[in-house]
Amino acid sequence: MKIDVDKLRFGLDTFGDVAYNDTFHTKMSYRESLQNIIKEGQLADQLGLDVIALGEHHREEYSISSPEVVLGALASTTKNIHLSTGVTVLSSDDPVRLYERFATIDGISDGRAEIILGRGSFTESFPLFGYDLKDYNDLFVEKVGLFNDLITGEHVDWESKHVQKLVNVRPYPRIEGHKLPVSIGVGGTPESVLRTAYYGYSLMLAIIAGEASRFAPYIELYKKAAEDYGTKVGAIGVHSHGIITEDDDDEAYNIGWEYIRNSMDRVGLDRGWPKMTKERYDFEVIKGAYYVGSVETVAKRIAQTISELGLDRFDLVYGTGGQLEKDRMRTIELYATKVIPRVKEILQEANENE
Amino acid sequence: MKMSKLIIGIVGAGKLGMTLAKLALDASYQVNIAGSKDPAKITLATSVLAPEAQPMYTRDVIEKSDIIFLALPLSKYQNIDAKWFAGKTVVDSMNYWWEIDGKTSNYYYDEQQTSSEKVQAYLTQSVVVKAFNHMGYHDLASMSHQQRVIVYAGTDEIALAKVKQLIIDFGFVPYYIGNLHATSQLQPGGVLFGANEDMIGIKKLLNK
Repeated sequence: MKIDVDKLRFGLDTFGDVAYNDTFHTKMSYRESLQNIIKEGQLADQLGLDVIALGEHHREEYSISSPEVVLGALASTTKNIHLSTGVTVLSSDDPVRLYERFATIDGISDGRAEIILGRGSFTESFPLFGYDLKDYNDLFVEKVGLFNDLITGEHVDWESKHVQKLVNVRPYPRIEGHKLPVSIGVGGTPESVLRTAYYGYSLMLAIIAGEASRFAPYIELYKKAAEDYGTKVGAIGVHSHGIITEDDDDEAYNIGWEYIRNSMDRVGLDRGWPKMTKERYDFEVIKGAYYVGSVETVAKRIAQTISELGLDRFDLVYGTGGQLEKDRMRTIELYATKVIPRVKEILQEANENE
Repeated sequence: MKMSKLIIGIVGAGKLGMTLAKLALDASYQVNIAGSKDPAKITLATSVLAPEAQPMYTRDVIEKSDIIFLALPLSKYQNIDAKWFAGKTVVDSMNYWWEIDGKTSNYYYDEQQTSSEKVQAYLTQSVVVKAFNHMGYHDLASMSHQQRVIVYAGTDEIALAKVKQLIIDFGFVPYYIGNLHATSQLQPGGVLFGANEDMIGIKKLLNK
């Protein structure tokens, strides 16, 4: 597919996996982890990445449960990078407070706030904030409706089963000068794709396993649905895990085998699925959802995914499973300074040969 | 070409339901599919993800199909009247998934009964076969015709033969594991849950 290289956006995502200390290989404290993530975000900004997206998790392995607070810290110490969540678990949040928090980040950062909404694959937040899992879907449906009214309207009236009744409400501070860019994070539920199109939001595909090409039908569905609803097709992006080394594929492979596998096995423990096999890991690295390897290897794979799916945006999830501080920094640095230029070059060549 | 092909009914139009519908269509089966509500709600998604599958109400899917796949959350199947399924072969492809079904797994399965045995206990006038549950939907979608094994279970010979043929037609290798009680190995925490393996891999996991 022909790609408009100049319009491509590249993002850097993290769930806030707590990193490991370079010298002692011990896990950082939460305090160190949070400060380290701020440094990483600042580096991403200095290196010219388009957007950083922080996930919201309420689990031991992650230090980010309040992504907006971390984004607030980044807002005043970065210049150009856009500041996003990825994802905000909307179902267990309050849409009005959410508006207020994002308006605050947007104000501090001079208009750089973005949001990725999602139902979230983890649902720890439900009991934590007093929500019932059986309302999982209804909560999302009602809250996305209200949130949309808040970001598009001046004064909002709202009434629905699971959400507070609002009469002529106008939250402050206001998001000024632009409409908050909203994406919905989709893992493969057709209904979520339709909802994204219905609101004219951007589509962010979370591809954490399998070949990227299997998502092509979802993109087709998104475009077709937008046409049916008469909404605008927004940006289409993919978010996947990655580790980058200068030129040693094996080194990246081994870091992933230690840390990505560990992270997946931990999640699997809760869900009752077995430990990751070498075969599965190899599949993901060679042609699946892990962008793990040298600059050249990773650049080729990202370019292929962008071209196959006709993407507008690619986000690399770094630091999965923790990883050493220096390896995380190296991934960010190589991603920004070498991989992205190389991806653009490959896509440009492909365009010219078409 | 088969002599006469069964009509496939799929209850559930999410990730798994759409994937199964696509596999059945690719194998030239006629497919009926239902979401939880009005079929109009799934027409668009079906037209892209499983073109040619017929969206219908759940009751119609069950009535108009020969073999019914349950591809809905485990916490939802009891919302469907068991009588509608009378006389049908039912393929249970559901799994307990606490993030959807809630934290109380004991309600869905326990030491005495697997989740499939509970499904069979609910569907008193139908024959239940467990299949297509242990492999993730994303693997099902991309791994057909690659010698991957689908493990199935049940006791009714006729129903088992039908499901075995479906597994083959969908592009997988069938492996029979025993009665519905044996599906403890296929559910969360079981050695085969999540398994995307060829025959050697499956036998290794089962220590055979």
